[in-house]
Amino acid sequence: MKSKKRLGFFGLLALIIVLNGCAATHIALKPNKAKEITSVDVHIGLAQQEIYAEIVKSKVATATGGGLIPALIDAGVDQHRAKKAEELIQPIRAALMDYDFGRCLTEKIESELKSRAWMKINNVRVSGDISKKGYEKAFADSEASAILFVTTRYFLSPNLIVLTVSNEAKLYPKKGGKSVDLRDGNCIYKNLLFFEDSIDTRPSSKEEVIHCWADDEGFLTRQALDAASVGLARMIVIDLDTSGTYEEDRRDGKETVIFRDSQVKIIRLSNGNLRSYRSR
Amino acid sequence: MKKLVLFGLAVVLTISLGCTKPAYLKTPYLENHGPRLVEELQDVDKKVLEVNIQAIDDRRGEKEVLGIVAGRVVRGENLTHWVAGGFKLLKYFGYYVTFERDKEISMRESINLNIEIKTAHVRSISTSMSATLVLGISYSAGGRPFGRKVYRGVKTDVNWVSGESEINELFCLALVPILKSVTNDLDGLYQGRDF
Repeated sequence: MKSKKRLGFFGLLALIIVLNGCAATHIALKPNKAKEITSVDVHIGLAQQEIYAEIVKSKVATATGGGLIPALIDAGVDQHRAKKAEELIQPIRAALMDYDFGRCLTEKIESELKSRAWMKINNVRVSGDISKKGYEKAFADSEASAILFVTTRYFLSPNLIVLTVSNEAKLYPKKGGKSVDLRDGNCIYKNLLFFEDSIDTRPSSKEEVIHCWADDEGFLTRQALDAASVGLARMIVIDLDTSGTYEEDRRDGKETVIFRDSQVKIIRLSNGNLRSYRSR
Repeated sequence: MKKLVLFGLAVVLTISLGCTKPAYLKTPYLENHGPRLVEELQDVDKKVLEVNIQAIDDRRGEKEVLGIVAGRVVRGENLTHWVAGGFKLLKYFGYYVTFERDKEISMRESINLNIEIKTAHVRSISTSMSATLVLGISYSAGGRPFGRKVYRGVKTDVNWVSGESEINELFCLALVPILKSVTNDLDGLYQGRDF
């Protein structure tokens, strides 16, 4: 009986440890792992070609405990909200017609990372295929000793005031042979890197907010996305630098400003994620 | 009852397996179903005129993947072919379409179009999906340019099963407002109105 209780306890402990590991959004790159890397390919996954606005999802099914009819109501409400969001965002998309965020992001990351010889960057490319198969093919085709996958999304909040560029970065070593295993357990670095910008004024309607972002050929949006490219490149450099260049005074695991220049300010969050903002 | 449950499970499994494969934008779908989608917009009494498409250039940065719908990759490598198929539907709006790159000035001048595909994408929004097409079109006739316009078509609809047919229909429906706007502009040009 005692041995069964002990088994149950250790089983529960193991489950908690595993689940905790699975939920971790930050795995710091260890110096001994960094030393083994001789070259890095950067693969940016960007599944969208234009900016979009998020919607507040309907939760009738959740509120009523589930069922087919509430689910159908949710689908109908979400479809209406999605249609409105797509209509509202058109002026910003029209203003950004000649702005290729994927290309800008790739160029900024390539120039920033390649300027640092210790990063050993080979190639930087962007692809719209962010599926598991797409990433596995990119991994198999790469000739570098490690591949950094950066999955990127950029969008406006449901109230259209905040512009966010969200990136999930994962670094996988290539261990030789033909095996491709992109499970989290095999990545030697992982982090969520965010950039946020917002309209300074508080417009009275969503249409006014859209005008702010779209006016002057989308000046504010282009400025924000350009800063996001700079911020993301800097965040990757900071996170992959194991030399101690960026000393972090993390008191009690609270948020800390770890980098600031004329373009961006970067903060380390309590969970290890990085968040950057345009310097004002 | 047991047989019904097993049948239901088999259906769900089949749909799930189908949904993991990429979906492709297919010109034959446009050719077969396009007429149905533009049927209500036709003007059957309209005199048939000619329009010539000199070129369709794909200027997109990402040419292979159109987007991801509920985890399913949507591919559109040969989009110029699809757009050409879409513009053939102008015949239902009273315009017979030819595709001649170096059309000489003839007795019967037709308006020439140069089409640029600026963007084409599809994405999931909760339980819906949205397709967008943006084309830049330059108009000319007899070597004389009339001008250039950008046309955007968007269609948002409920995503039932992320099926290939559903996704193809969504793109067809996103093309329809573009065809309607182009028809209005062609009508204006043939009637001598300013562009």
